[in-house]
Amino acid sequence: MKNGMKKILFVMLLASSALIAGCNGNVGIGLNVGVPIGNHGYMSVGTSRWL
Amino acid sequence: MKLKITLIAAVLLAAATACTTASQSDFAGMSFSDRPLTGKVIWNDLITEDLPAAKQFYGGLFGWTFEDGQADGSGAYIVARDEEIYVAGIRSVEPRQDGKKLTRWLPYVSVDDVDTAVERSKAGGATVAVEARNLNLGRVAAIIDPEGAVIGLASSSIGDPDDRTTSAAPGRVVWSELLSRDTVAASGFYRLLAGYDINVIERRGGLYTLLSNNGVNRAGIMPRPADNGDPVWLTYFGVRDPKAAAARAKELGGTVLLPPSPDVREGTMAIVTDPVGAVLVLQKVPM
Repeated sequence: MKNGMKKILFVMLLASSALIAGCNGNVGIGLNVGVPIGNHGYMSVGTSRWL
Repeated sequence: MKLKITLIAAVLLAAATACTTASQSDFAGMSFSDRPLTGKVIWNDLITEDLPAAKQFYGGLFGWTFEDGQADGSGAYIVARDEEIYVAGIRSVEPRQDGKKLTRWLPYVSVDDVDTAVERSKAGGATVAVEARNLNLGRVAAIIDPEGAVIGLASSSIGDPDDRTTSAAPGRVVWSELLSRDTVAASGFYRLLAGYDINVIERRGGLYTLLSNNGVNRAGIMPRPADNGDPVWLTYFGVRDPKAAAARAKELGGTVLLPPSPDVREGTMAIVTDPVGAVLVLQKVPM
């Protein structure tokens, strides 16, 4: 009986933790690509070449 | 011991119940396709070293509101809404030790199968920036194309936002464009990656490449406007008045790289950076 209760409580704990883990909404992606940006200052020149 | 577990479980359960009722994503204003809209840019994330500054800038510029999003690994992540539409995400990253900036807008293209697309991209000369992985709503990866431009790949388990949901409007992403060193090679690569139809048109004295699927233009490729820059995917955001929007971006701490000018697409666009340095285009809508 005592062991059974412990198991139920443990399952409750796991289930609650799993629910919490998905709590922050589920939309979006949010990868960190970790790639430094390059030189984009060139966009301010060559204005006649924007097709 | 039993009491402790009971208490912890009760607290967690209460928190979980509150979160399921209060913080779930609200898709009521959006509709999704039954099948993947392969080749469509279905999501855009800002990667930034300063999330509070980004919130202030984009909230002030576009009127976005923000919600917590799911985080992949370490780093905070929020999602931006324009009224009832989820528009984009903002991912916080730690600054690099060497001072090189990571901040960028990153588009995600819908593909039928992320793993297969990653393999195809590798065969075409790309390298993998982030290996394929599952998220709540699908599977994603990021690659560095053969010219060095970074792009995400996504396969959504709930369908892709349809074209009604993503129709061009102020504060929404309205176009994606690759500034390329070699547009012919780039066209071939992206056709291999996402099955695009390639349509090269003459425009303003040059050749502009449209990437389309099922007759719908999904992105563009053009030669870099100057020869010394790195190829990059540009994200275009709709605004009513590019000149006013560029001025507002500057007020909010951004930098104007290219102000609207009659010489550049008849004054319909401006290129700015946010306060952290991410580049974005302000595009007059309707286009």
